[in-house]
Amino acid sequence: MVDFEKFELANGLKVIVNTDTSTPLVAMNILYKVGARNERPDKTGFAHLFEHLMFGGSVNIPNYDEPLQMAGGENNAFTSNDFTNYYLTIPAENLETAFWLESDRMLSLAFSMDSLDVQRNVVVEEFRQRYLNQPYGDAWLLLRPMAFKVHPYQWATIGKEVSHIENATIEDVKSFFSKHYHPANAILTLSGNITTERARQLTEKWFGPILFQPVETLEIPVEPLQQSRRELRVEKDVPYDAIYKAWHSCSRYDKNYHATDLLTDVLSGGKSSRLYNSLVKDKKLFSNVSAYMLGDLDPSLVVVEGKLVSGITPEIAEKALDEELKKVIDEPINERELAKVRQKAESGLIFGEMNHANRALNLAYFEMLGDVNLINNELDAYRNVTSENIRQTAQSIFTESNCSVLNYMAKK
Amino acid sequence: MIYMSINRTLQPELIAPEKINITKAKKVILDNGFGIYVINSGTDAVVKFEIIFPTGAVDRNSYALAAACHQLAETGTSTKEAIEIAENLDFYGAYLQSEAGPDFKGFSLFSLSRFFNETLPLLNEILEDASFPENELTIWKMRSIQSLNVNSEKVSWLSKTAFNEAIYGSTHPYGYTPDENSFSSITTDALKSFFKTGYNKHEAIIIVSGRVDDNVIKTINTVFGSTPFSKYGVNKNLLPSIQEFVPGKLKIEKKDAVQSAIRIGKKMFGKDHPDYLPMSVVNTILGGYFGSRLMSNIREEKGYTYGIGSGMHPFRNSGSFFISTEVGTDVCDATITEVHKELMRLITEPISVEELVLVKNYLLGSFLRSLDGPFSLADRFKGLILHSLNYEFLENYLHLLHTITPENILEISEKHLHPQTMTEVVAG
Repeated sequence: MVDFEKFELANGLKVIVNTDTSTPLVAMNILYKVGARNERPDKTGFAHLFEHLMFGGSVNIPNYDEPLQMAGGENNAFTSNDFTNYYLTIPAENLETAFWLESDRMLSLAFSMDSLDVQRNVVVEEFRQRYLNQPYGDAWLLLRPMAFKVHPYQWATIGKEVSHIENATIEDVKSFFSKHYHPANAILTLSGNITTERARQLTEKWFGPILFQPVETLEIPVEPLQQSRRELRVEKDVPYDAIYKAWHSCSRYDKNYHATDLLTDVLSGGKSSRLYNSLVKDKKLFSNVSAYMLGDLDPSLVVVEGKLVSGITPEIAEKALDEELKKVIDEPINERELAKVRQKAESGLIFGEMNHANRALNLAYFEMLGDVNLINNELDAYRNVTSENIRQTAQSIFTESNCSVLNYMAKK
Repeated sequence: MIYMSINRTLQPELIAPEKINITKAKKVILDNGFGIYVINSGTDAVVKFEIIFPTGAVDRNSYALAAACHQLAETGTSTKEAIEIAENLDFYGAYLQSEAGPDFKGFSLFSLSRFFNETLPLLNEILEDASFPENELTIWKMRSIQSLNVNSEKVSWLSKTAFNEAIYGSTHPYGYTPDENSFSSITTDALKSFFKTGYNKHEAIIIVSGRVDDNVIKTINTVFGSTPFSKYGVNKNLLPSIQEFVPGKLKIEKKDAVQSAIRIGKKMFGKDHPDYLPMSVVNTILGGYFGSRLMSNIREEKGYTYGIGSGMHPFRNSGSFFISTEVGTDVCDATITEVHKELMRLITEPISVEELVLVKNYLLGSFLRSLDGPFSLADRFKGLILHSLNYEFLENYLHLLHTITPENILEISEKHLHPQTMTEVVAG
């Protein structure tokens, strides 16, 4: 249970405060409702590149990081397919510095050409380090376009290719900022040693003067229903064969979201889970296997991925996987297994909210979903899932015509 | 509403945090006389129970053995199979973490407070009665060898393991990385005998953090406090002596790599050395935070890398210092040149007062962050007790942050950071 208060400025900025006086710190989180799904197919990776540029100086403050560090603060940011998130923690005494910095970069950036030149290079190196120079690092770059033919989830936040990042111009940067970075498209949350009264006062002072701008409605293409199995086989310089199998599933808003989440827990949550015990331990086909859902805002994927034991063909491995999936479809899970995945979900919620930065992020996330109060319904939502819900969800997801399979093979 | 006009070019006034309160661990004596450390703090009904054994992998042969022992202890007892243990933990939403290094090894149980009475006995059962089934060992070997071979494809891993070996030698557990053979040669008999000698409860350090109420203490007393523990002292250090460090250059070829991993550093010292704390401030200036000199120069000015940093890795008997990064293969040499420049700058130019104040303030904030929440407090305490230190160490650190001068920084850099005293490893 997270306690919070919420208010909104005249310019549309929503603010949520969770007060905890047992800490000397405050976590501040600002979520902008823009992610890779808002990009054009010929300019992918831009939301993420832009996130880097948010640290390149704002209209009145040449450097973001230095004054924050001077105030004892620390910050970071990440970009997802759906949103971009900036967060920091700072000693409570110096919280005003965070308001000063964050409001100035919401007001306007410096749009420095130097910063763009350097961050293009940094992001290209990030692309290489995380996606190209790691074994299996590009698997998602291959899987996404197979599963999504129309929807922008077909590219990863880093972008489709290095050239999209290299070709970004300062005009692109300016238009992206004016379109997406304004109060009504943002959510500000605070967690830690701060009262709502003080939060209100500081927010009015620093964010209040920023002008209102209406949020543009987005036309995001809807992914048509998949009609048949898709398959891709690649050979790369990796030591073992791997399988990635993905099925279209529901969105984060869907009533089946929690059942789908528990379904993936039945399959691979913890060492007592089904896939680990069957495919790794009993049959010795996989060396590791995991199942998870992406839980994006638009309908997205459930994925099972795993590395194969040497000498096992992907056909044998996939057949064994399908047999396990058939079991969840054919027989409802028993009471004990249901109680297990529910309790695991509950403990995940509690451990996940211990940290103030996480708490601030979660508050912002649920507000983005439409209502911050949802944060305290999660536990009930998991408790209300029945074994029949899980069985039906499995039945609707795990069909052959709904899947994309990537066989990522070791070059012989 | 009327807005006061505000000056957005000026940073709001900074206030130094008031006196910092450190919630300290309290010693609680169990019924059998055994002392445990308790940090009762935080607002969530959760408990972390950590049991640490102050001996680790004392030689090359026991390195993989310690890792195996550690990860396999939860895969069976005389009355329970692996899946029963796992199912019980999962059922209560609890999880076990394990850690095995050369200086110590341990298990941490994370549990909701309300289920602690059910989860702690499971951990105890593992410690008392782990049976190391053959089948589980076979799977573990296969998985460990696979993950070793996947890691061997990563330039960062190649440079890190080669660096550790260059510093401490391939036979010392501080420098050794297990190979395929060291995994495949493990037997269940070896595991059982290692477990018997290396995991005696009477040698353990127990740290409990979170909401540690009377019920939690009662459970611990029932499980760990009802039978007498013999009073052995902490095991004598059995680690071999460390070789003389000689700086050198190493290149590991990896065909088709688009980036090279660079690691530059040297043997330094552990937390007991008088220069450890001032050196940790120097390390921050050089590469210990986002605004560090290495990040500013090599990422933010040149754009050569996604990230570069420096760090200190303290062991109980030694320690190392390193700078590490992954850069485009075309800018590898240029990066090394810049790293040397930054080291020489620290040695030859006094730091400006502004930069030093910034680093001090940043470190003060980091210090507060490192004490935030019960589990952080427990980690901080663990970092003291495992190095035979007490809270005075943290007070000395705070004092140092207030008093360290540009001259001190220069002196420490001069003493420890000459580029020609360092080993350089490039993989890619």
